[in-house]
Amino acid sequence: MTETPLLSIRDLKTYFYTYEGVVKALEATSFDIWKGETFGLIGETGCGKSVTALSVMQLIPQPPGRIMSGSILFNGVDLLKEPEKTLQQLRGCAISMIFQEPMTALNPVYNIGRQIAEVILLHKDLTEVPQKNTRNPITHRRIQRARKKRAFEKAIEALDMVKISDPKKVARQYPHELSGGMRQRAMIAMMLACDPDLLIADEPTTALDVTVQAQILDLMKELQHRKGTAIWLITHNLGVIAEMCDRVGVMYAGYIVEIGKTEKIFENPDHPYTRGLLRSIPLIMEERQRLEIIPGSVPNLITPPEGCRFHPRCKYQMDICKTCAPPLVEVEPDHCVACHRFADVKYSVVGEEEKHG
Amino acid sequence: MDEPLIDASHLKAYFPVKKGMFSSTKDYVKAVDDVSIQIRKGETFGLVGESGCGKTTLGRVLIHLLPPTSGTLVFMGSNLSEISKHELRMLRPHMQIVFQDPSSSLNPRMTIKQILSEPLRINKRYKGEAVTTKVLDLLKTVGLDKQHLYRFPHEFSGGQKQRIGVARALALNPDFIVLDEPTSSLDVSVQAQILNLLKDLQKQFNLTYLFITHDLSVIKFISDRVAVMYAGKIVEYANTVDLFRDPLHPYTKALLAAIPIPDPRLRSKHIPLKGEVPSLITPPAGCRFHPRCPVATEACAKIEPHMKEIYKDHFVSCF
Repeated sequence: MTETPLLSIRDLKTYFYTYEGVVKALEATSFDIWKGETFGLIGETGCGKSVTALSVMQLIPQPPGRIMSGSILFNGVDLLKEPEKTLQQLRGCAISMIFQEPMTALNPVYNIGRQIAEVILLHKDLTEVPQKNTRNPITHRRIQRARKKRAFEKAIEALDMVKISDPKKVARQYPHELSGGMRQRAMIAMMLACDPDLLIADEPTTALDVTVQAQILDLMKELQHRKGTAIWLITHNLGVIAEMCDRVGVMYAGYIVEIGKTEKIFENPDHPYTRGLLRSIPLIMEERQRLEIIPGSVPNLITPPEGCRFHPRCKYQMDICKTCAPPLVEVEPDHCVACHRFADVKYSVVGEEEKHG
Repeated sequence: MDEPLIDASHLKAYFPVKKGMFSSTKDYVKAVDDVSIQIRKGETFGLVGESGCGKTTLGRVLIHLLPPTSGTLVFMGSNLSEISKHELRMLRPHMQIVFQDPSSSLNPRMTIKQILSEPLRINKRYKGEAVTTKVLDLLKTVGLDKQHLYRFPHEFSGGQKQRIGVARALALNPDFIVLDEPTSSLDVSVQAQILNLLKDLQKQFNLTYLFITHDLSVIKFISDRVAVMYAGKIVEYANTVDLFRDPLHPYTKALLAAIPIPDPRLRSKHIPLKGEVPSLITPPAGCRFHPRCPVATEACAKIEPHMKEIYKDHFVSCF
């Protein structure tokens, strides 16, 4: 691919300064998201997935958080160097984000339509209703009212687009009156109201039931198809990733440990962590008597392990793993791994399995 | 076949909803509506369904944490609604529950030792030094050790907290444990650890589980028999293998089709179910699934289907 990526994160480093010490949440994270693709980021709780997304949106609470170094290029513009005003224009418009818990992301005291209309008012010039600079307060008020009314109509259209059955009624309802799936639809409607180039979906379906999850995922796919939005999907559900994504990044303790085409990652995972993750899930398709486990748990990021952060839990560890963090290397086209022993991991499969089985 | 550990017939659990100024009219949330199941000794009985379908309520009714509105519940041969309070307390140690959210089910002001020794003290099973020995023993069975004894719940990770929840349930050597979504708040790698632990413990102590979850792949891994619940009713129940190989109820089929499979080559072309779980105050007439059902007929809207045995041990309530 010769064109420039839509979003390009390079060596992003985000720390949190807390009473207990410095939490090294992100350490040299780099990846690209291309136009119109779906990129998935997987990893366990506390491995830095959401922090990466919030860093891009620059919604990290500062302090305690601080983006130490790195660059975030969005359409060639470094977001870290832009003033707050430019960011405000981008947020919710060019880049928008869906949060995990729709109940906390929606304002409980405004109705759905008004909340969506707010985004439209802020970011869209409603051409039908020209914004005239007028000194006459009465004309001004009339224009404002007309704009609001138009925005509300647009909000209803947006709700219709996410297949809410009675958009006019729903627009006048409050978040607590809607079910979880409906709220998430309303969130998506709000985020897509401005035709963003990039949609960040942070665990959009974790709080939902499987049947509703399937509905929401289908809806996202369809809207992407129609509008060409790039979707950055953050989840810990491997099934959702396999279903939705073109490319996947696997994150562990602040590092991207493996990244590549979805098929390649799922067919031959080269990093021991990815391998462990894929084997630890119970499958519908096949019989598993025991689940393979990754011993231990995610390390404390205040005092992360030296070298490769995965080495204390890794069954392939060597001495070099304890001292030197492995770089991300390309093992095949569209497939990079950060592991000193990826070659051994790859070819020792049979032997290892006999030993452990 | 020997006598089932739990024999529930026509269980109902209704919650009154007050309406009007003087609470004159009453509606009921029919969380569990006419459910009959038998759980055999030593098996893992899985209960799946979407949120709000009444599976947690059913779990609580089965160990008499919630007395059923009507119906009979026979546990180890004694009818729980007929026995006295005192006798019920004597049976209590034999049934335990592990809750979904480990952080809210452990008292934040008690140390692990206090949490685990409380059931031992209340039931006067152990005294003095024996309590500590038993607590240590429990910790060891769930994979924790001595250094964790005097810590508080907030010092543990989610997986460890769930282990403590399991240890507490095991403290009195129960026969039956209700596991109410024990792994849904955990990460996949930790979930795998807990599931393996539960399987081991079952073998070691000859336990019977009721495993409540909304995750069908977990059910497939852990249970011997499964019941699928929808809007307060059980719509299908069968051996796990049969159910997954040949689901009969359209709802079960839809549930199975909706699971994202972690294999990009198998991207499903599923037709998602429309709509959502109905209100349990005014459930649809006839078959409760008919408004969402792809194969509903006119009869489905009027007549309520009954449980029928289609194959051996495979029951379904659908026309």
